[in-house]
Parts: sequence; C-alpha cells; structure tokens
Amino acid sequence: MPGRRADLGELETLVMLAVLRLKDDASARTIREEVETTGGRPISRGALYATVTRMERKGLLAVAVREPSAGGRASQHFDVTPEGLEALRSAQQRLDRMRRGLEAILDPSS
Amino acid sequence: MKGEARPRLVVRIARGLARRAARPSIWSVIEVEMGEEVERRQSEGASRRSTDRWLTRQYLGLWGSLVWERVGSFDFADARGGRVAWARDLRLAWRGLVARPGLALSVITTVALAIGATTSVYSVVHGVLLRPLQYPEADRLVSVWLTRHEFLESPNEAIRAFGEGIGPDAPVFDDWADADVGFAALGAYREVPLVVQERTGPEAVRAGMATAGLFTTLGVEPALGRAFAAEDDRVGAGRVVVLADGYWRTRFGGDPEALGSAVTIGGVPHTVVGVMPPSFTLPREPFPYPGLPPSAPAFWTPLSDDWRGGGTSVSVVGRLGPGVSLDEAEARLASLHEGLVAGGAHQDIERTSASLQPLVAWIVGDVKQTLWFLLAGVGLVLLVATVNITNMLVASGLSRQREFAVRSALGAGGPALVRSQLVESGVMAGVGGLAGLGLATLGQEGMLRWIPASVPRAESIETSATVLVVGLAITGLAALAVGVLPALVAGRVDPQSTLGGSTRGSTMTRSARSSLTALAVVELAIAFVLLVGAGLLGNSYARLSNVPTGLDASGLLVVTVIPDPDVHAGREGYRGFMAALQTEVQRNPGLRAAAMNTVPLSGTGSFTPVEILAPNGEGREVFADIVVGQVGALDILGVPVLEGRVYDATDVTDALPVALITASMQRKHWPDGALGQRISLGNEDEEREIVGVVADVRSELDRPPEEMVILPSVQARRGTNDWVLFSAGDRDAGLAAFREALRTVSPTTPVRDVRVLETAIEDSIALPRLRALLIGALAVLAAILALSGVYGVLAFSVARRTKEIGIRMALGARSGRVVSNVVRSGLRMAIAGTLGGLFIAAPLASWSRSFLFEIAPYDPVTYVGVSLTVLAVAALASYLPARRAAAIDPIRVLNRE
Repeated sequence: MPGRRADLGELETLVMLAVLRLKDDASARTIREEVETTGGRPISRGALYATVTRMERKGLLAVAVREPSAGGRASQHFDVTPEGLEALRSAQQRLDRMRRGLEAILDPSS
Repeated sequence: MKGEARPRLVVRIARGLARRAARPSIWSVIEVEMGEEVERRQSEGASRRSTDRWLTRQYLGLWGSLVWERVGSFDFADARGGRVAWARDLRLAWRGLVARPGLALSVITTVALAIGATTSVYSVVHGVLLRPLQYPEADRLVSVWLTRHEFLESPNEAIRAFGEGIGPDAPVFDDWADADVGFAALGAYREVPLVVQERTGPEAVRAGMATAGLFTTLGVEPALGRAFAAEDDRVGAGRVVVLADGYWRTRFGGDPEALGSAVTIGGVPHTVVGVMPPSFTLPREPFPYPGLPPSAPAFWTPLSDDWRGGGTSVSVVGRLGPGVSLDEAEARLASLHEGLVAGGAHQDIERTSASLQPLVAWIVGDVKQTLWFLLAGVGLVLLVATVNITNMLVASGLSRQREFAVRSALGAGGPALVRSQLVESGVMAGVGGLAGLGLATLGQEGMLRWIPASVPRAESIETSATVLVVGLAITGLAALAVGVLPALVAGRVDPQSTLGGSTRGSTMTRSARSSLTALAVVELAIAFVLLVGAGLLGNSYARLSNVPTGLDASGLLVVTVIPDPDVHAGREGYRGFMAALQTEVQRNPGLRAAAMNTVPLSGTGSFTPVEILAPNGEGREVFADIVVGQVGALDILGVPVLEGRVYDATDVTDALPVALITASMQRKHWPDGALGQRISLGNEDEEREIVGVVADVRSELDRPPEEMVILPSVQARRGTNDWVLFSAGDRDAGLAAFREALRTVSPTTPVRDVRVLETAIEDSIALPRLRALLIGALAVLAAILALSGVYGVLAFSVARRTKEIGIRMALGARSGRVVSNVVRSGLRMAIAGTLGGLFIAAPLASWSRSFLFEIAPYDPVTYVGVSLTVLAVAALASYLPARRAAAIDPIRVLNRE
C-alpha cells in the first residue's frame, strides 16, 4: 500500500519486541511465552497467529527457515524485516515525543 | 472402532479448514508448533482421543481467528470509497446489468421467485403460528384439558388421539376454578349450531355457549351492556344473550336500544344484555362441533343448562395469574386433580389427569408441523436459488477477468473491485427481492384460496409489516450470500498473468473450477432432498385418495337437520319426525334419503365401548365405531351385505334388537362366523343379535377400517341428524325437493348444514394434498435450478477449455470421446449430489414420517427413482455442452494461436 505508513497496534508492537528479544529462537511458542511472561499480557494461540499473519502481509515480519542441524529437523523462526524495524523505530519515536514532559505522571518512581 | 475413526476425520476437517485460511508461510509455522505440542502431550501420557479433541479445538480456533483476520484486513477505508465512488459503482453496476441482460434477468427472476415463495410461506407461518392471538396478553392464556388414560392404551390410533384434550364435567371444572392453581381466571365454552327464529323463518347460526368467567379470562369487555355475570352460570337462570357485533348490525341495525329486546333461540326468548366489539370470536376449537356453520358467530348464551345437564363437552381456557409460569400452574393443577381423583367425589375421573398448554398451541394443533415443514421446504429452495445465482455470478466473474485486470491495471485496487462486484450483485438481488415481495403481496389472495379450511387462524394471515421486514432481511442476506464469492473472485485477479497470458484464459484455475462444481453439487443435493420429499408425499396422497372407502359417494349429499324440539318433543316426537320426513322425501321419484347418526367419511366419527358376549354370558369390551341409520341407509351408500341380511322394516322398536358388523370386525372377534352371536352396547342394557355382515367401510380415509357396528335407527337411542340424500337427477333440484319435504313435515325446522359427500372426503385430505402439491412444486423448481446449475458449469468449462479441447482433437481425440468426457463430469456431479442428498435426506425423512400414509420414509423405490431421475437430468444437462465441445473445430482453434 504505497504512501501509507504501516501503523503498529499494541499486540503487533509486543510481538515485534518479543521477536527481537528472542533473536533466532522466535517460534510461535516462544513468542507467546515471551509476551506473556515479560510483557505480562496473555495472548491466545489464535490471536498470535492472526497477528503474525497480518504483520507478514504488511511486510513487517518474515518467516525464515533454518537449516536442520545434525539429526534435527528443519525449523522456522520469525525475523523482523528492515521495514518492520523502521516501523517499530518510528512508532517508538512518536511515543517518546508524546511522552516528553509527562515523565512525572507516567513514571512516578523516577 | 467407530469411536477411533471419527475424531480423526474431524481433526482432518478442522485442519483442512485452518490450512485454507492460513497464509502458506504461516501455515508451516503452525504445523511445526502443532507437531511439537502433540509430541509433548503424548509424552505426558495424554490419550489419542484427548489429543485429537485438543487438536480439533485448536485448528477450529485458528481457523476462526485467521478468517476474522482476513475479514479485518479488507481495507474498509478504501472500500467505503466515499460518495463519488458509490455513485460510480452504482452506475457501473447498472451498466453491467444492461450489458449482460440475460444474466441480470436470470438472477432477478430466480431471486424474485425464491423470495416470493419464501415470503408467502413465511406469512402463513407468521399468521398461524407466531402472531399473538387477538386477546390482550394472549401469551398468558392456556388451554386446560383432561387425559383419559384408558383411551391412550387403545390399539386404535383414532381412539388414542381422542383420549387427550377432553373437556371436564362441570363439577370438576368448579373444583379447578375454586382451588388456588395459579389462574387469574378460568372459563369454559363450546361453539354449537343453534336455531334462531328470524322473521323469515327458522335459521341455523353459529353460536357460542360460555361461562361468565370466559369473558374475564379472554380479557375482552363488551362494547355495549354487560357480559355474563356469575348468576347467569346457575342452572335455570334468566335466559340472556350477548350479541356479536355483526349480528347486532344486521338484526338490530346497530341500534343501542337493542339491549333488553328478545331473541328467540331454540324456541326460547332470550334477553339481549350486551354486544361484543367487532371481530371478537371465541378461540377456534381443534375439534369443532359437527355441522358447525363456518360463518362468523352470531351470539353467545350461558353454557350452564347444557353443560350442567351433562350434555355438552366443553373447552376450557385459563389465564395465568401474575408471575405464575406455565410449568408451575401445570404442576399445581396436576396435583390438585390427583387429589380430586383420590378423593372419589367425582364420577368417571378415575383414570384421568389434567394438563395445560399455551392456548395458541392448542388452537393450532397438528397444523404446526406441516407449516414448519413447508417453511423448511421453501427455505431449501431459497438455498438452491442462492447457490445457483452465486454460481452464475462466479462464472460471469471468471469470464470477466480481463475486464477486472484492466481496471486493476488502471489503478482500481482489489478492494475497489470487490466493492463494485458486491454493489452489482446487491443491485440484482435487491431488484429481484423487491419483485419477490411484490409477488408475495399480490399473490396473497390467491394463496389463501389454497389453504384448506382445516387450517386454523387463516384469517390472521396477511403480508404484515413484520412479514415484509423478514422478507427484506432474507433478501439482504441472500444478496450478501450471492455477492461474496464472486466479489472475492474479482478481487483476486492478477493483472499480470491475466493480461500477459495468451488471448484468453485457456483453462480455469483448479480452485475456480472446483468451487463451481461444488456449488452445482450442493444444488443437486438439495434438489434430491426435495424430490425425495415430493415423491414420498405425492405417493402418500395418491394412496390416500385411492384408498378403497367401502362406499360409493358419487352424487351423495349429507344434510343436517335437527327437528324443532318444541314441536317434536320427546323420543316419540323425534322418531315420528324422522319417519315422516323419510316418507315425505321418498314420495319424489328418483329421490332416496335416510337419516344416520354420522355418515362415514363425512368428517366425524364416534367411538363407544361394545361388549362382546360369549355364549356363557361373559363379556369382553372393545371399542367400535357405532353407525346408526334408517332403513335404506346402507343401500344408498352402496355398502354390500356379505353374509346374513340387512335390517329392514321388520326390525321394529320392540322386536329383538339387531346389529350388523363389518367384515374385519367378524374376522377379528368371530373367525368362525358372527351370525347369531350377541353384543351389547356400553350405554344400553339390551343384548343385540348380529344378523348380518357388511363389507368394510372406512370412517376416515387415513384410518384402516376397524370395528364398526351398524344399528337400525328405530332400535337405537342415538339421534340421527345427518341425512344422506341421493337424487337420480340434478343435485340442486334434489336438495330443493328435500327442503320442500322438510317444510311440509315441520315448518319450524331449518336445514342446518349441507355437504357434498365427495367434497367432504376431498376436504379431509386437503392438508396432505397441500403438502404434496407445494413440496412437489418446490422440488420441480429446485430441480430446474440444479439442472441449470450443472448446465452452466459445464457450458462455462467447455467455453473456457476450447483451446485445450481443440488441441486434443487435433491430436486425434474423437468427438465421441469428447462428448463422453463432458457427460461423465456431469454424471460425477450428479453422483456426488445424490450421495450428499442421501446424507441430508436421511434425518429429514424420519421427520416426515407423520405425514406419510402407507409408505415408509425410507421407501427404496422412491430413493432409487429419484436417484435415477437426478442422474438422467444431469446427463441431459451435460449433453448440450458436450455437443458444443464435440463441435469445436481444431483448425480454427490452432489458427487463432
């Protein structure tokens, strides 16, 4: 969709952050675990697949196939695409700009 | 074994669904995760079955999420497009319709027929079943009745049916009304023909007899004066009458001064105390009084004298008190009645129980099943129509792929194409739907004529706002249903491959062809179901109307006459009247008449316990139809005597009482011969000797002839008010002569009812006829649609494969081979459709069991016949496209390349 910036929803942001944290180990199972334990947001299997489907269609995420290690089988993991990284960065920057001056409210401990 | 296999199939189906919804790359991720999960579960010792269940749930959940995601990904912001785009789409849609008038016309006609039929049948269902009764808070009204358990144990179906819905005697009713059962009010009534003395002479009118509580129960106040008061319920109370609005207007010219004037009913003056509002009627009874005029009721009189005198059987209506539920009231009534039975204070209730049901359900009775059945049938046709249109539109969309590709290449995005397709099909379906609603409204009157008189509440059938709203909603759904698939086809077009390829899409994509084929198969399957239904119901109706009745009804009239009780008082007066009228009528040459208690097949029957007496005097009780007739009655009906003699003028009142029985009764109870054996009727003391055996006569068409006892009227206590009349000449002239004879014998006695016996017999099977005709018509419609579906798919596929077929023929394929190829794919669809149809028909068939007469719901002949028909029809539908394929000229095809 030319000319339209790909906005990121909350779930998409969380998934993307999880994929980045997991590096080469980002499978469906580990992403869910990461979002649930670190992100503290429960996510159903269906919701996760719907989210990654959408992100893949938008070109934010790609499925990479890993060559089988000795005796193992081929497996896939998710990778953040350059476009995805760009979208994440600009979303975070937008967020940061909006946060400026609100630290006292948003983060009272600091 | 079965338990093992089933979950696996379910898993496969769920998995297939999820796979179709997923993007291929994501699907591979899903498969890996599922594989790991299954391994983990198995290593934890989960059973195979629980794993399968888990997998099914997961796949179905994923399927739902992914489909939902896909719907969400449809870019509504783009698709909404703004006003300009909508206007352009509408213009484009219109242009599309004009450019393809054939397609537009077929779609619009199909939608119009389907919506018209569905709306019409729905209007009947709505009017009869769903619309509230005309009384205030009608959902609080219930019907209350007794069940006689000894009747329920009878092997005779008609007696069993008779055992439920019996009205209570007055003392039992009083105890019900006095106890705290949860009724706010309770009333009893009966609709009867009564004779009223008009200036022009006696006239039989439809009237009601009701308790004071009935008007309170129904919650309708008189428009003028008062309804019955408690003192009117006493036996021998003042003779009062409440008039119906119509009668008040015709008889008293709508004069309010009518209050206090007198109306002579049954020879007794009654004082007018009130007038009910227009359109007030009593709830229609499922088993109306025999010979009740179908006209609107004229007036209502107190029920007491008749009922408390022990004469009439009544219907009881209650209004539930505030906050009392139906179940609660029923439980309380049942336990109250049990107490009454145990207390022994009432006669003749030893083996009874009390029940209630919503009043509307009681009024509607058996017709409910038929109406839902017909609605289901018409719904199936709507489904076939929808599928058929989808098929037409998908095919048309596929052949317009170049157009879409050009538009797409010129900048119309997928969503824009989807939208314009939706608008196009929506316009067609909308126009068709509106035409259908118009058809339903205009055809209403014609349709009402088709509804048999036995259908209650026919007067409340109309194309009301609710019906129209439902019709519009169905149209909207249909428009959406037919639009989605073609729209997706349009949206998926890939300009590069479509425009870059050779002149035409040489072959269809596999998925496009298989979805077209699947749609045609669905049509065939549904048509199969309807054809089976039509076959079974048509067969039943044919059997019903050809059932050997045992009598010859041609040219016979049934005339109801009840002698004026003031002039012909007592038993002697009654008998004198009967004999005099018969003699007077038969003075006319060519006219024969005999009075009977009930003429077989004329719509009423009666059962009485009969005691069969052994030579040692011991008795055994059976139920039998009792037919009482004057001398000559059997002869007029054409019932032959098989053994012994028919009763005649020598069987007088004080001679030995005699009886005739039917052949099947003799077979059942006296296999060695019944002549000379003795029976006794439950309500009589005398023993009767069996002097003759006659051929079997049916009392009702759908009931096999069972025990029937025929008595001479002079030796029976029952009244004989139905005259069976035969005239050698003109029927109307015969009736006029009968009326003349009646006037001579008794000027104050009116003719209450005249029926043509053949018509009465026809009417008794009007409901089966309606079912057979309607389902038959729907089946033909569905079959034509399915046929056009198969034809369309094959014709389209041949057109698309012109090049392929041309090349094949150039390589030596014979035209016979080409024909058989195409026909074979048609037959494959037919076989798949037949199998699918069997799958759907099996559960539906048992539902139709109660509508079938002497034919099993799984009648093999019907199923085989319909299967062959479907195959033949499909072969026929594929032959034309096959011929066209065979006529392809390979040289021209190759030249074009």
